[in-house]
Amino acid sequence: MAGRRNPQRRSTGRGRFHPFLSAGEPLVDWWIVPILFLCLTTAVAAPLRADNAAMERLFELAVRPTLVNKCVRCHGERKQEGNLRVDSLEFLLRGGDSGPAIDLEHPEQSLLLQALRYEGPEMPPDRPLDTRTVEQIGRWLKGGAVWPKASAVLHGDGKTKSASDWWAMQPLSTAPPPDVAGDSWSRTPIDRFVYAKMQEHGITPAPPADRWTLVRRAYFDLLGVPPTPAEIAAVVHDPAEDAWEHLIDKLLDDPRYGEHWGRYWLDLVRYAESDGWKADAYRPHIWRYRDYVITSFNEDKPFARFVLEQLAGDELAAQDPAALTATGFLRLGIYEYNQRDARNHWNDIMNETTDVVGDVFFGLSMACARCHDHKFDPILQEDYYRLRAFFEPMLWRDDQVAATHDQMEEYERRLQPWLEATREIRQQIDDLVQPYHDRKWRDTVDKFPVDIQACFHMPRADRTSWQQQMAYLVERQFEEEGGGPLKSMSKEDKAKYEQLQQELAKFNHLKPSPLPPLMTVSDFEGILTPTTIPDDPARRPIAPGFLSVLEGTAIGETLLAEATAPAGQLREGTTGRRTMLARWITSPHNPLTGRVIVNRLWQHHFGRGLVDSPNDFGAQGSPPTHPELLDWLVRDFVKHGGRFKRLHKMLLMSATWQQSAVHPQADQMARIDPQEQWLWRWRVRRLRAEQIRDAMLVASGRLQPQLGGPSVDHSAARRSIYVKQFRNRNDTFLHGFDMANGLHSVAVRDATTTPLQALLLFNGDFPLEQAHAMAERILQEVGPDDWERAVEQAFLLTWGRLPPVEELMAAQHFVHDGLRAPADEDKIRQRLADFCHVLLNTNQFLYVD
Amino acid sequence: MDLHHGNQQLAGKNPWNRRQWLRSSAMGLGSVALPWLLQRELRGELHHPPRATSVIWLFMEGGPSHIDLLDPKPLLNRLAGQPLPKSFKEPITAMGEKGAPLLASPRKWRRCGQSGLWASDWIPHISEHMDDLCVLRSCWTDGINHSGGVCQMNTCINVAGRPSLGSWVHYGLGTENENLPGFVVMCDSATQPTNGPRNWGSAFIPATHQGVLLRADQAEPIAHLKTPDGVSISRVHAKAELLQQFNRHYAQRYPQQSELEARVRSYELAFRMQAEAPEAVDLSRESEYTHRLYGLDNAATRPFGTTCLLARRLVERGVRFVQLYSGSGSKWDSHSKIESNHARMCRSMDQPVAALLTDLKARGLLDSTLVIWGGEFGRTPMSEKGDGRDHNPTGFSMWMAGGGVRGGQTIGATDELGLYAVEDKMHVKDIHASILWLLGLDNMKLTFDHKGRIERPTINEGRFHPKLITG
Repeated sequence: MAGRRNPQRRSTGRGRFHPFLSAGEPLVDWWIVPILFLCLTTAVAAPLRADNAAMERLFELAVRPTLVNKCVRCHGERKQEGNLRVDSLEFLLRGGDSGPAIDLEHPEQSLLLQALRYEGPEMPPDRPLDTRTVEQIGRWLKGGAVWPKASAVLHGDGKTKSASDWWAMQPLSTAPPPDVAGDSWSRTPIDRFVYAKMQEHGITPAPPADRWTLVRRAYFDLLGVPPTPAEIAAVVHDPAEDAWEHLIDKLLDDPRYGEHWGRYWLDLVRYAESDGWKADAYRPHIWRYRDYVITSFNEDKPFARFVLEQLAGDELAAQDPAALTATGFLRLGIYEYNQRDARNHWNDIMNETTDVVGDVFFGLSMACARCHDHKFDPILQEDYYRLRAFFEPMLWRDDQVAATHDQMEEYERRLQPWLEATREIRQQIDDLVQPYHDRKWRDTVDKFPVDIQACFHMPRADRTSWQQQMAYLVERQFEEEGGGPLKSMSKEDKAKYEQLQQELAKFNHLKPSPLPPLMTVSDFEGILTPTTIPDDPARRPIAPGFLSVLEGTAIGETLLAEATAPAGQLREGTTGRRTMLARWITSPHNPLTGRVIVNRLWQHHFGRGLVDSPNDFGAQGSPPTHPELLDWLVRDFVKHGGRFKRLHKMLLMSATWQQSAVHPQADQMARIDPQEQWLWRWRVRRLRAEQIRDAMLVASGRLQPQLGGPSVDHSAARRSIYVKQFRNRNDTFLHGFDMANGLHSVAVRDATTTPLQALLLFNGDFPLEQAHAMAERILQEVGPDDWERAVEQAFLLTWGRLPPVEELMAAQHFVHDGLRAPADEDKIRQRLADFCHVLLNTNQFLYVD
Repeated sequence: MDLHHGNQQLAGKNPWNRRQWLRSSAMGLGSVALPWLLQRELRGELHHPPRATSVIWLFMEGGPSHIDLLDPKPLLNRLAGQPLPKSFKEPITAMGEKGAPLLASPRKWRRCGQSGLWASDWIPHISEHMDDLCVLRSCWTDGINHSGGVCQMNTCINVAGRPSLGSWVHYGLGTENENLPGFVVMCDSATQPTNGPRNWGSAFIPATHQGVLLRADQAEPIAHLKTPDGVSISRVHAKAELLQQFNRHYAQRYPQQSELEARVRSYELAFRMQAEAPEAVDLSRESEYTHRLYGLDNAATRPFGTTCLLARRLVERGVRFVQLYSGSGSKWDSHSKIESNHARMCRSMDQPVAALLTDLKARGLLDSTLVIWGGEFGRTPMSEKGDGRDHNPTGFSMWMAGGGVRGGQTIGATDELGLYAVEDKMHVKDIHASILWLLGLDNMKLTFDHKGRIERPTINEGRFHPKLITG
């Protein structure tokens, strides 16, 4: 490793840096600094000539695009081939190994121009620019190489560099709900925004849907499961004026709400319960994070708190088991149990975490900027690493429990008798396993590259954060790789070991039940390794920070001030970086993140967001169809504490949501608005994978209502959110219907239609089993012999209503035509089961209208 | 089979017109699931004339040793027993054995055919076809472990989350036969390959394009293909008829939402698949000669031979992309006792692969079928545990045949010990770009818009290697 600059070789013992705006220690060796200083002081000040509007236009027309698109990749901030940078006038004048790139005294002889003309050095190397551009650059040089002050150093292509062009960062509109003359349709402010847009485009809304339809729609929308026939009847026949409002309140209080809406969040954070990779090891404790999400939704936790707990629950001063559980968010990513290339492994882990945070909270695809400035959005490569820097000090913890301080003390106290009673046996066990442990440690550590081994061998107190992260990756393989430390135990010792374990088990009655284990994180408490950009030869440290496009803007400064204000409740010893990030994201003044989360809610209620690209609020995404409505909703959301349930209720109370899927002039409307962006009817939607499975279990009457707890096998009759999710298995019933794969943040699921789904529904075991159970259940409920009622009940359990008479006749015919009870009872039973199976395959069951 | 009768009737009631259906479903099924068909039938053509129209990828899972099969290294035997010379940079290896001595290759090598390409005595049957093979000797990849390696060879990167190449090809080209899955995967045992189904998953492009696992040894080669036991044809028929009646009513109520119509069609397609797939995998229709050619009469060669023969039958029927796993579950992995491991694995693979080439050629299918052979990485010249070799991602061999590839040549080279690719290096991205190119697809023009980012199969890198066709 000699001669290589490496964080672990830096001397230790220097003071810690300010937790917020420092990137840790710079990586620059002491001798580089004076040289850099020399370079800067010897730079020649540019003899700028008078400003000239025409010249500035030439700059924008030819010079900036050429330099940015063709040159800076090799002659810019990160790479300086031939020691040349071209991204500022100063750099061009200073030049590189071949001398100054431009010569203001003799513009025609400028090296830049010679290179572009392919006279001498040939640039760009792949092929010459068109002659017109070269001619324009020549004119610009002769005109004095006018360089706009605002562009001292070029970033990106200059078009998106400004925050003022980015709609999602603009202040929220204060426009009130519009008053449209003759609007007798609107019931809520939301409708008034929607109605105004309809008017503008010559569109009329669909009539309201009937009560049967609305009840079924509301159950699927809020709870993810269908109503029972009794529940439908109760609402449909409720004469009270506020029957509808009453239903919504009831559903929002139902704990099944969290089981449905929590699942949307789990898609976003790429929740899964296994590692992926070769072993695809199950993560037995991560379900507590899933329960945390469900509970948070059910408690209507304010969004700011929800975000803070997931990003920085460990940084809170008060020991809060729920907040600690929430940091499971930071443990959902990748981990490969036998990876020896620890350096790249951790790098992948950090990058993936950064990507997901960008997707989930900013609604921005940051991943592009990992390797280069974003081509379309005002996100610089540096911004990616600024974001990553918030997570750089993070250590993974597997030793924390979901318990309060008091609970832990109580546990310790109750453990004492067991510890005393078993002291001797445990000592014997320790002595027995010691040599095997020693050997396994040697084997484990030896397999890593030498520099990683060094991290492991150094005293913990001397390690930097990166060295500690490396040591962690080594340590985990001691237990988890190669069958664990006891795999090589001799037969004799194994027998002894098992006997000792049996003796130990005799004292189990003294042992308190263990505290619930968690997957969590906390920051390293020693010297922090700075974040750097991978191909930056200077290895310039990157401090945690926000999008550079916001620097100097009013909104940027406000958010920065809020995020960096002293955080009172910070736990001792943590950097507070992630708390700062959470506060920036959830600031009531942050228009971007507010729009992102409110749009997600709208999207799940209506099947499509007001912004149709919920994970891309950048230039490539769609602008909002109803910008004032979105902003009005964000304001309301923020003003009322960032609670989801209020927003759900407002949407379900609206005339917009309650429209029928059938519009009497549908053809005419579709000609004006084929994409249906003006929301002139309800759009029929297929159920999500979990809804299909859960609805079948509801229809068969088998669904177990139990909330939460460890995940179960898919054969268990629990809601799908509790089914174990392995990253390497996408061949279950749920995956057949486009379930999220847990590999990346999913904001919009596909809803594919394939022959394989048809086979799965028509021949697969699960739907058939539910059909049979459903038939049995119906026969029990309606009593024997009443076949006609049995058929009707089957419709109610699946479609939520009776069908048109023609379909009812066809069904009755199918079940008992030509048969006569009781002689043919078995046949009729069989046909009823077949009929239930048909219903579970129908669109009336699989879609919500 | 049992449904054939019922299908005919269903189909008879609903005349099947593909083009009409495509138009009608442009906003439903088509808009997400079938852009390729729309592209080809309604808008335009391929990016350039294709050399190949289908692919059979023979995946040697676990990592075969290039220096014992296709890339002879005389220096290795001269230096055997010594540590890696200082002039070679020591790589990070998966099992991390430090300073292990070089392991000799006791193989007998021979120059084969007109071209004189080298092949070892472990692949006597394949070596009869060297004039058809283009051996890529300078392949390299990033991950050092099986999971990352297999993932990368399928998806271009070693971290999970991108679509497999087969999915991209299916997305780009569709299939020639809607009654069979267009992207089929088969394994030579019941053990699933490392990473499982995500190797043929479609990640962020719609699941319509993911591979379908075909289990030739099962009564039900495709999951849920068979009508459940004890259900009569007449019952199935009656159920299907009632179902389609309900579904058609529903679709009529919402005529603008063509995905509802597409769902009616999806059942018709499913019933057709039930009729056609069993025939496609019925090997009793093959001659005695063919059975022997593929080694189906021999326990050692039967498992992989069966998949090879099925691959030919599928390609014949218009299946676009077939991937076969030899040694499914990392069985080519040989950290110790490489002699016995590779002797066994080569025996199981060599004759079937040679038979596939012979058979494709005899039927005139080799010109349009690109056959690819290789593992997720190669193996080190250094020994492991005395008589094995560790993973080598930095230099290894693959080969291609048919599909317009010029045979009887090598591309690139590894260093004198076979550790690093040094000449004409081909990264996995270049290999994928080359496969796409041969199929008429440009790796930079085949795109999918995902979260505001234009995604391409080789992540904006990777180049077709022109020597593949020019020699």
